Amino acid sequence: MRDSSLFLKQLLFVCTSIIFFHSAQADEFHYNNILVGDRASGLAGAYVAVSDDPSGLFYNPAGVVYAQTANISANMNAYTYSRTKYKSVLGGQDWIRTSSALVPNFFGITQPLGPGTLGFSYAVTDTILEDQDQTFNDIPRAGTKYTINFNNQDATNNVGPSYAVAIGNKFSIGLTLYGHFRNQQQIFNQSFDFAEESPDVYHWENTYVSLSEKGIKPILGMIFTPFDKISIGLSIQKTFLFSSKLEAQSSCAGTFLTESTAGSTCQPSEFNRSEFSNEEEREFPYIINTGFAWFATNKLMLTWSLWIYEPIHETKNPLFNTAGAIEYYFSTSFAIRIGGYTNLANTPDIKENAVNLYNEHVDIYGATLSFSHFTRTSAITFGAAGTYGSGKAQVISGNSLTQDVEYQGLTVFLSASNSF
Amino acid sequence: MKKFSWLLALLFIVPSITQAEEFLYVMSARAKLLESPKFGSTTIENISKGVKVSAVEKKENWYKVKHNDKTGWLSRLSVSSHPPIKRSRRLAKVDEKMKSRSRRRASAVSTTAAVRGLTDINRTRVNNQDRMDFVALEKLDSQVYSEDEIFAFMEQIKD
Amino acid sequence: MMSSEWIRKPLRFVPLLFILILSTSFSQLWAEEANFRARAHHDLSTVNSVEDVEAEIKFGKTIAARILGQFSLYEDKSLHHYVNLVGNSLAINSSRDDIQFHFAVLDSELINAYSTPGGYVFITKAAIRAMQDESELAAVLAHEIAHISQKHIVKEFKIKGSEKSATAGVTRLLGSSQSSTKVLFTKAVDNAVKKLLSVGFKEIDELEADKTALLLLASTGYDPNSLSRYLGRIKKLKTSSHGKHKPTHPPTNTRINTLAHIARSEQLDNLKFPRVAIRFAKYSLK
Repeated sequence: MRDSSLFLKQLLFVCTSIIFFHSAQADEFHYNNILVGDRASGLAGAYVAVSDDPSGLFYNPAGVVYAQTANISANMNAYTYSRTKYKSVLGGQDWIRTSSALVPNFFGITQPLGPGTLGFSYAVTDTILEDQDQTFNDIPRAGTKYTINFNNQDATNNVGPSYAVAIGNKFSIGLTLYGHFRNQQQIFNQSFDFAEESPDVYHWENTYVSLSEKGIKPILGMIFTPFDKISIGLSIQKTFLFSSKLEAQSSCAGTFLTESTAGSTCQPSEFNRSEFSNEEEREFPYIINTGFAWFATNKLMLTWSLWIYEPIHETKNPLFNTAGAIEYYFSTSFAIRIGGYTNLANTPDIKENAVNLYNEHVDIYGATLSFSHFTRTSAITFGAAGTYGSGKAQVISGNSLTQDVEYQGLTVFLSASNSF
Repeated sequence: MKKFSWLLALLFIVPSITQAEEFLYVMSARAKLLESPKFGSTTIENISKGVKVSAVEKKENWYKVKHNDKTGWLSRLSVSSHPPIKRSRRLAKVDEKMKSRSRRRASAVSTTAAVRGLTDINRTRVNNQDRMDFVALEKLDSQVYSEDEIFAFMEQIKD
Repeated sequence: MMSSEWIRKPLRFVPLLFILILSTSFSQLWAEEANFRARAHHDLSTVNSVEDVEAEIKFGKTIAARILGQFSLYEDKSLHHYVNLVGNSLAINSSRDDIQFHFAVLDSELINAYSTPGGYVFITKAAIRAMQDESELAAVLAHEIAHISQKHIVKEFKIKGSEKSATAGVTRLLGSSQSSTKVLFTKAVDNAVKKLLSVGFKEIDELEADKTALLLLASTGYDPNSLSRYLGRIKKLKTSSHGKHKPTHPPTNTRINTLAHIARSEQLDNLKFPRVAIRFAKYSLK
């Protein structure tokens, strides 16, 4: 009896503190979570040297001066689904988290103004609608029934103007000034009870977290055309936060002493309530994106991009992501785009047998495929991006137990653009 | 790595295969195929409207083209990358609907701005308040000149 | 703690790189731009559809009707016939085979000529009176035809036929084409642009019209120097008084100099092409 009670206490302590670290930062561990813009999405985000339409406002504003028609508007709607499996979290059972979201995730418009081109765009750079509803009935040695309900909504929006101007025949420069807005809401509810063994022993906890960030994200871009048919792009960006506000409320009740999420204690046999707020701003790195595009013929284009991220989250070396893609026109009205990209974790590798502060490291790889149909003034694109990742995590905060993680994602998008 | 090298090689070969031969269409009624890219050089032959030629080279306002067995230069004014579209006969006549619609609707565009004049001095104001003369316009529209008449006239362009 | 050392070091080279790139770009400032970025589908948008041409002609007719409402036609059948033959000879060498050109002489004492989209060209009798030969008449008509062939007004006012394809319909459904944001945005920018820069656009148009006119004259077989000659002569004839109008044409001297420059670069200055004074004397105003 004592043995299992001790085990149980440990387990409880362990379970209740999972939420905070882990899911609040789930998307903060990757930079390339969402592809933005119709043409750029099909090209796996390898767009910094192309950027010659509204999607370019997000990747490299300098490119919009090379748009073929003066005024263009474009939008994109995407349905994203992802599934993360943490293996053998609780007594050999897997912990599965799914996320799905249907968002209009991009809108952009360009218009000539004076010597250059003016643009305005809106992009959803990250969106999660996570759900986990699981009940574990067969935890060994405890005969416990453990229920977890987890719901997490987290969306980051960028919205703002851009202006770009060509200087001479071979060079252009542009600036996008996005407002950065992030809103996250999370509800975590879990309970333990021993139906058969000790019906009087139980624990219940409920935590609500809301986070709101406001900032600006300038993107400075340049495009250089050294030779015919070759374009080289370079952009640099960083998000600067004005404010970050996190508020959490936690309630818990149980028959023995534990520490609830946010560190307050949960006194046994009474109803505990605590509040927590924090204005700590998260780290945003400088991001350099560079690449080239080869416009081989008017039907074939190859492009490749590299991202270099300033190290954050206590990593020592800069992180790199890369993407490459091909665009091919079967006819003047039909094109296909195929690409591949990386979305690597910006956290250090998980050190086993130690508690890691940044408790997840999953490297994700993606491939994209899209088809576009063109008419005189319109274009419709339909495509999909599939992602797969694997890595390690320490889902149980404060515990050096490491789990293998498997990640799968699928995004299906439909977008339209119109020149007027 | 070996696998990628042949893929890379393929990527370089593909463009040369897919590089479509560029074609141009003659737009003017009778385009002169010249020996060299400048006005006044010898005319090799005349090519009529709608004929498709293949473009070999572009030099400023001139295209070097191949037509049948002959190679020469065509002025860029006389060609286009799209075939000529037939003149629309539907709007040859002013229709009654257009007359009444135009009178009722205030023009969204200042007529002054929509007219291109020769010079600025004494630029006459052509403004929205003035009346519209569709009768005169119809008379103007009805006068058509045949290609033969025009070519005969062109032949007499000499001192 | 973020270590930004690795980023600060290379960042120091960025301004140097920037200057290096800029300096190479400026050397090519006037080089012809090669449009390698255009993709295969852009051919679709540059194609003149029948709907586009019809929209252009419709627009042009209303403007022409206004001009005809304001000025009366100069009644001289043989002159009218002659002007149309000269005009059509030029037009037949332009790339606008899709429209029918019409030329008319206006009964006005002001030296001027007008063109509207869709192929209507008007010239005043005073303008003809100031001419000495057929090549000068051709020059003025060529300039006006050039405005039409280069679609300056069509582009400025974005005159387009409506697109009836299914894809366009779906695009509208997806909200990409008719959103209020778009309408507001473009209206605001258009107004701003008109206030600030309408003069600028037109100067570029005039330059292009002059250049195209010279090529058109040479293609048809007329002496291309006739345009400069004529402009020089009418400048002396006219009294000043730009009044409150913002000049859309550069001052005549600048224009003549630019014409000379274009003629040299296009190798048009040494052509001994005819002026056709004899035929002109037969038909022109007594």
